[in-house]
Amino acid sequence: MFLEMTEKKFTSKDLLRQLRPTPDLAYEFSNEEVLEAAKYFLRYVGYTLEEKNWKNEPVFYANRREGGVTYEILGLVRHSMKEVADGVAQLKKIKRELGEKIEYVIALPPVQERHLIDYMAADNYKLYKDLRENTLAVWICNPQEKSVWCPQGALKDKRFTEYFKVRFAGDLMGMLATMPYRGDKGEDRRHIIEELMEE
Amino acid sequence: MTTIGDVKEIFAKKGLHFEHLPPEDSLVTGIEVVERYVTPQGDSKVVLNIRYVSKEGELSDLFLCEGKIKRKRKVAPPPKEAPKPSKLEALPMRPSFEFNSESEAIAQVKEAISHLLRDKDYNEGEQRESDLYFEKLSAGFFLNLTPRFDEAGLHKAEDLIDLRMKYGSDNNYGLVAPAFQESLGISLLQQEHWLRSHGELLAAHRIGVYTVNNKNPNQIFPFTIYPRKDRDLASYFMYTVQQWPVMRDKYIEYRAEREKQRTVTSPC
Repeated sequence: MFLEMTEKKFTSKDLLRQLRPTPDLAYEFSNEEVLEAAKYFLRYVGYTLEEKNWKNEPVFYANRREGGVTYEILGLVRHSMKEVADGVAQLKKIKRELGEKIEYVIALPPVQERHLIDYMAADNYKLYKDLRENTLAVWICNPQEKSVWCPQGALKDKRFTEYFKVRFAGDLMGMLATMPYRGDKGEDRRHIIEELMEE
Repeated sequence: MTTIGDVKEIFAKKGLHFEHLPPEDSLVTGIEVVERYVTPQGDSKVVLNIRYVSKEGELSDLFLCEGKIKRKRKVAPPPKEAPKPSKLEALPMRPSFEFNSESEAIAQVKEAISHLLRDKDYNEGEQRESDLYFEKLSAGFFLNLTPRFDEAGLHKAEDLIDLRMKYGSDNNYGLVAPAFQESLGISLLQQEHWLRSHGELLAAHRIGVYTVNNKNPNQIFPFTIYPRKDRDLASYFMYTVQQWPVMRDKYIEYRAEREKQRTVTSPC
């Protein structure tokens, strides 16, 4: 049996139509699993966990004391990049109540790097600017690997760098500068990076 | 106060030299880098705005300095020759790639890794939570030994992750196995699959995986990660990591030859 051949030329647009959209998550994990992974990671780094709830929102809170300094961290879990903006709003409220001394984190399951950047870059980098202005960190937690990667934000406690899956401190700038798929030309991207760094 | 003479000396130490400068005894009130350019050959050209006080009062002018900036290499290059034990005698070679038993393999890897660490000034310490424990200054090295890269081997590696949780990131952690485990029931293909499957996890937790050459116990190959802070040990692994593909090819050649001989000698 022969396949029917069409006279129409097969274009790159046809090819793109046949491709499946990239899923939000690289690996699927529930919020509970991510919460447990974040708690495990904090214990791994040497933090002491304390039970804390914030208006029925499950949050994780831990602290560590070293040389007269107490590091405190509080975080909540969101399921994908789509929910990060909501997480930022929640953490802003918590921060207003609990203060600046604590560091705040949004924990996510392993999201696709492309989604991570696209969501942060949407609406003239609204989410990225929001995270940066409020000094919030994003953690990508892999409960199976028991590993955490920090693609955005830097924590005061430098001990974390020894335990993150990727050693260098995360920042969108680095990812943006090296991401090959983005349509913007090198020069445009350079301007964006420069503008963001100036802000 | 800093003088022009001091500025000249400081830049000269870095490898940068000025063509023109005000008198050396003039006091400097400020320096600003206006432009910097590095040529593809590594030569630097720096334009500086120097504010200084001379007989005419406070002046400011642009000065060009050029040269090759002497930078320290962050990572030392790998040694060109095979690293030899610096303090101890080299361990004797084994006659074959095969092991007759698990215990023989474990004894071999234990002797090899202990010998390497002793040669690099580590002392064996008292500790019951890992198969081997060494110390150098305040840093510990927790080691577990496995004859094979299998489920049991993975458990040994996971135990090291737990130890890292307990003893922290200032210590080193490693799983040690024979380089070729076919005589113990794991093919090279399975071995490499195990490393591909679990290597990322172990690297994320900074657990080093090391294999000891079956014939030459003086050659230990690192996979995933190896300690970088101990320069002597890092230098050793920087060399042996490059030797693994060579050794692997040699082993495949040996295995093909062995199979050929078996086919010739076996009755039809």
